[in-house]
Amino acid sequence: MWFTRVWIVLLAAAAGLALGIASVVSGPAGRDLTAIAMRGLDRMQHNAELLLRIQARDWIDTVSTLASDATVVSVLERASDGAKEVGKLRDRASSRLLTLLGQLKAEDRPKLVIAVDAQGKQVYRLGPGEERYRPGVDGLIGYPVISQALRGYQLDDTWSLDGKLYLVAAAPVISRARGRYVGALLLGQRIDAVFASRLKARLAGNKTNVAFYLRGAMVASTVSTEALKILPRSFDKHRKQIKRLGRSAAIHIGPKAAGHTVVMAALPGEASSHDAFYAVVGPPPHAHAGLGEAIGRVDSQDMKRFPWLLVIGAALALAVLGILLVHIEGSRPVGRLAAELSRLAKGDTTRVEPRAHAGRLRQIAQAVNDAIERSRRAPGSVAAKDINQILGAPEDNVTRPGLSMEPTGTEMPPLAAGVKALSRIPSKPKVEVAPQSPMAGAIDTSPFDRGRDIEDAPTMLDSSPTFGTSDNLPSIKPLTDPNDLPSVKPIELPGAGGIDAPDLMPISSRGDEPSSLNVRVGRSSDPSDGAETDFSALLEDSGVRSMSPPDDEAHDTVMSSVSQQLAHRSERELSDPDLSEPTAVQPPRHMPTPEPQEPASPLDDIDAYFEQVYKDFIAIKRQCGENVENITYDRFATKLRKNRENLMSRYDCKGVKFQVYVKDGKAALKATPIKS
Amino acid sequence: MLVLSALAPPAEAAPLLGMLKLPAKIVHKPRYKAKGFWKFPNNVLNTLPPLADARRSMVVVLVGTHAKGIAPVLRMVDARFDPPVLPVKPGDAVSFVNMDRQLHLLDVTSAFNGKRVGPGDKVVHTFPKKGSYTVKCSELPHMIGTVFVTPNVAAVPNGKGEFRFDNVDAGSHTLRVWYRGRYLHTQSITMGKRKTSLEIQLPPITPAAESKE
Repeated sequence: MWFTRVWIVLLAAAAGLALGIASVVSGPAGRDLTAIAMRGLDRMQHNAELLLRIQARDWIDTVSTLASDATVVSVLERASDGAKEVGKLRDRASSRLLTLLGQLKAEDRPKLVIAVDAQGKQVYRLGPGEERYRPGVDGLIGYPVISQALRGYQLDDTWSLDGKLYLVAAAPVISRARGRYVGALLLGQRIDAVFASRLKARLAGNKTNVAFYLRGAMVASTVSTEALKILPRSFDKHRKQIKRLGRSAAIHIGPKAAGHTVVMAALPGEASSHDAFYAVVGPPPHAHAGLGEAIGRVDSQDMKRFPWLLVIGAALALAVLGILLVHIEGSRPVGRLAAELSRLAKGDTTRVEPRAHAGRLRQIAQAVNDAIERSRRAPGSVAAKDINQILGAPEDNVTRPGLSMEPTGTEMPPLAAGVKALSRIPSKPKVEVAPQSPMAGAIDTSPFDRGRDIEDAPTMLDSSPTFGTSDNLPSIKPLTDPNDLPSVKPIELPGAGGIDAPDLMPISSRGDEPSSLNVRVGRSSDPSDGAETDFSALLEDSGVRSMSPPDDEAHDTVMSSVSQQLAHRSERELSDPDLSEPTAVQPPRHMPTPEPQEPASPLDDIDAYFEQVYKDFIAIKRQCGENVENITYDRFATKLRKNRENLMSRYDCKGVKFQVYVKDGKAALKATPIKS
Repeated sequence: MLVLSALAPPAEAAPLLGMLKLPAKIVHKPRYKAKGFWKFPNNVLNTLPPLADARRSMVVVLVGTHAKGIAPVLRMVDARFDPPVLPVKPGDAVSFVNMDRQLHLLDVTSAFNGKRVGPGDKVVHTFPKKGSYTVKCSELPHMIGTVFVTPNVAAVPNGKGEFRFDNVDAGSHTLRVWYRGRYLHTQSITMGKRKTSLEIQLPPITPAAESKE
């Protein structure tokens, strides 16, 4: 799953990166839009400046035209000459100028008209202050525009009169006949809403507005908002910049959504001393447009440039890669585990092989195995009962660790009746082991009666030794591979050529288990084969000093194991009433000592087989450095036998194979039922 | 260059007449610089030199001679201060008289700002210390004047550069020409008992002198 995780992380990183880029890119894009809007507004201010300049120039042309009127020149010439009839001159000038002004368009008619003589004294005045001035007395030569006009210049200026803003233009009045300047004429145009509207109309862009300010108050505007009323404070902040550059940079005022972008520029002339300026007002910028708003602005042209092939190809490639990785690292291993678990559920196998899986699936397999193990070893479970039967019930219902027994396979063929009969062996036979027996060396007979393990263990022998403490108890596990099942060979009884039917007889049989058979081994009554075998003697030769038969069947000998052939023969004898008489099987007088190097088959000589298992177990335990002092063969064999019987009765198998192996550095034992 | 000539018989006190001559090239920037969009000459007649002559902003000081106690008056007429520079003695009370038909808001350095002087009104202020004080009208920014406080006798030239001192004691004197915050010229003169005339050639007016005030 590593690659899948890496892929997912990379995919998430790519998605996050893409989203982040999309979110972040809107910022620069918004700034670009703002910059474009700012530059656009700068151009608007430049256009407004040009329009104001053109307006001033037009105004100069108008005043120059009026100043060249002969009547005006005549009146001012006479006034400059010191004529006494100033009042008459004023009237003449007024009459003529009003006539001339009437010829102008209504929107071009000036709101201020002043005619001065060569000394700058007012001869005629129309507009603000006309009621106060004294003709021929009050002069205006202090005004630069007047003094410059009297020196021959045509120029314009801005005035602040009575709180109103005027754009004025002046021109000299020239007496061509006398070749001198005889006065000056000044026209003033009030900057009001009409003026602003005309200026806006001449500006390109319907969303651009203009506003004029004087002495910290708005005197004219094409838009009325509260935000524009605070613009004089911004003018104060940008005063130095405006003084240096003539205008401010584009700034944003008011709320982000409902604010305005403005460029302020100072008006020229005297009115600039009274903080006269104008502002070109644009729409609010789009500097901080979000991702959604940016997406909303996508149009068809943008979609045409969208790299569909690249995006779809990349998405498909990522999807295919993800599906492939998930299949390789997810679906396929899980499928294998599921199949294996299904086999486990069906009973085709007894455990899950963790090594076939990797990562967490291996942990799952191991956990399943552990769960199975715990379930079987839980008190009351079949497995636990089996193991208790092998090694005795643990004290205080404590399951002995390290000991397990699992059969392989669930369906077993019917066992021979002779094998079943072994489960009916009389309990607690008195057995003494001769020291000279080959088995004696592997049996510790000294501590037969010590320890509660010996006392409490449900064994056939009261004096049977224990396996010691729970730590050195052997663990018995079933074979995992059915192929490991050992081949079963019939026992070739020495000298008899087989066991005749009369040699076997049932000791007892349970009514509900007709196949179950207890075999009583006695002397053979068949004189033909001379196979009358004294089994007691056989046991004695094998090292068993004495064996006490059951009281009720003094001649019966308990067999710890029978061969398959023996079991079959026993079954035949049971079915044949003629053969039902107990017959003692007399083993050879001198039974060869089993060779420990050649492991006996579980279905052959069971004692030899148990002894071989015992030896292997002891050897493995010694190799593992475990204590083997308390493990005696009798105890060991008794438990194996009991376990064997239980397994055989449970699975109806022909035998049980025990294998010694090392588990976790300790010797362990596993039992495998043999089906055939 | 100083030219002294005896025009009359010697007397104890005689008038001193003088003439200030400007250099060929003179830098005299108006103190008010604002202008409109356009300014161009007409195409009929040549333009005339500016009305504001630099000599109208100069003061000729006769060091060591104390002026008489004459109440000085600075008039506001035709939207300007007349004279442009008013020499006074320390402690003189200067009267600012508005002879226009419009309101003026008077600003005097180290004295007051925005004092309202209506048409026909007068404002008096005493200048106790010598020095130059700028007088402005905040309503008409082009109105800029100067009160020059000096303990010596001072005279303001007219538009032609002519100035006059009456009753100058015979003997040696020092004559200095003040312009916008500094003295442009200093020379010694010896007055006789007759009317004395002199002609003073002014040095070039540097931009530093322009911006000194």
